[in-house]
Amino acid sequence: MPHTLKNLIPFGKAALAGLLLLVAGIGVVVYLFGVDHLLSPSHIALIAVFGVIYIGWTVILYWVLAASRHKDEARWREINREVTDLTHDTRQLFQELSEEYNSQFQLAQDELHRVRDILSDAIGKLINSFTSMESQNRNQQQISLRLTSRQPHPEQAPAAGENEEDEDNAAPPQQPSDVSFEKFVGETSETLSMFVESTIETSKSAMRLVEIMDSVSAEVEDILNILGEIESISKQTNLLALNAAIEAARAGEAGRGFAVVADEVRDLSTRSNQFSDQIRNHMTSVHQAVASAESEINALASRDMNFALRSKTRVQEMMDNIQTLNQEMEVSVEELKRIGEQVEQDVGTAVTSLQFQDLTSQLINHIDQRIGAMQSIMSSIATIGDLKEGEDYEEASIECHQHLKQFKQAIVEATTLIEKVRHNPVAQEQMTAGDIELF
Amino acid sequence: MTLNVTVAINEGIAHISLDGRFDFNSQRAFRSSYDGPLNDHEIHSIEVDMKAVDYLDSSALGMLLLLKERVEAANKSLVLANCRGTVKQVLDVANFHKLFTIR
Repeated sequence: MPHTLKNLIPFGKAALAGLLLLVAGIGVVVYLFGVDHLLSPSHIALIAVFGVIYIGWTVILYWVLAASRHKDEARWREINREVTDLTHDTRQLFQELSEEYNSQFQLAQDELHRVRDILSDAIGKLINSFTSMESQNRNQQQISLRLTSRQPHPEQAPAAGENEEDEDNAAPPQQPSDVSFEKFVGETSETLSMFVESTIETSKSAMRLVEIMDSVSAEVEDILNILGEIESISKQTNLLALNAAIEAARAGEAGRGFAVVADEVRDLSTRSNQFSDQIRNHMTSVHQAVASAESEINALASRDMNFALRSKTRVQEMMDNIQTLNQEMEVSVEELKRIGEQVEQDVGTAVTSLQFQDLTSQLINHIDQRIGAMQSIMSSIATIGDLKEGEDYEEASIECHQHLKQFKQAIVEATTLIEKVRHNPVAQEQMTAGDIELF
Repeated sequence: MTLNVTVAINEGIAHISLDGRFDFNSQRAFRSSYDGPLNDHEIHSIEVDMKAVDYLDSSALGMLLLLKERVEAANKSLVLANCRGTVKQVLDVANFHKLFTIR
């Protein structure tokens, strides 16, 4: 519709309204004062004046309206320009915003995917690591148990049945690890006892020997005494024989036979003395032999017992040390066992916790979807400011409405998508220690 | 270096007190101290007092074993009394507590 015609419409309405009022006024006057009054020159003059006033008013009205209209138009043109500029700027802003957001969303998505990959990789490695740790832990437990119960290492055990035919070897087959300190100390103690017993038995026999030696010595004494008697008898005999010889000489010829006998007796006693001497010599040898035997027996029988005392003390100390060692070992085993169980538990917790990958995968997917939704919203935002350049204000606003509608539509779609995500929550809120499945 | 041996007889018990070093050279003194009581019908028990013994070696142990043999053969009883310190240790290591009555 042409610009000037648009101006005339409000003016036309006002003019018409004024005319109607005038006519209504005249009608009222005629009614009140009758038609006759109306046609008198004063009244016609009055009507003429009213008519002039009315026309004047109409003209003034027209001018006022035109002027204001003109001012409004200028103002609207300015506003239109401003709006266009603003729209243009907004469009640019939205475009920039959209680009920036999109690029950020893209980066976020890329990073998200990287996170997912890193997680997957790391978790795989962690689970393997923990599985290995678990089996190493179990190995350690078994080894420490074996150590303390002194069972042989499976690789070192001899083949079974090797010694079955050997009757002398009725004891269980010797294992390399069967050499325990306790056994060794026990054997040492036994050996010591045996040695002590042997020593004492030897001494006992030796002392008995000494007593025998003593009795031999006593016999020798007696023999020597008897020898003494024999020697004195011999001496007497000699003297008597001498006397007899003298008496025989005094008797002369009659005593000649007697003198011979006396001489023989003297010979006999001399021979007796010689034998006596020989016996004496033998007895002296015997005495010496007995004496040397006694000193030998002395060496044999006299064993200082301190060696035994020292050895026994040493053995006792050893036993005490072994006892302490065993106790410490028991404590250590208990400790090891406890630690082993603790490690098992910790590894279990770790592996269970690693199953959070499931949770995080879902969460990452949700984030992914949210980002996608927002990206589409952002794209729509970019098109809002898409106005053709230099467009008419009305046409531009219609197009704006359409864009806003599209924008709204986009938001609705995005919301639906997000709702879907919200109603499909991640299975668990947190990890709890339950059965572990190593996958 | 010799062993002093004293014998006191009291209510059928012969108290043999030893003083000094009980070793090989004590053989005669020790033997002669118990020979009499062994053959005495009035005496039914022999007690060897070791309080003053400062040293004993294996020969002493051998002599004690001989004494035990003979006391048993004579149907009498034997007690080793006042065993302390090293003396007691030596008797222990020789397992004499299993063979003798030790006080």
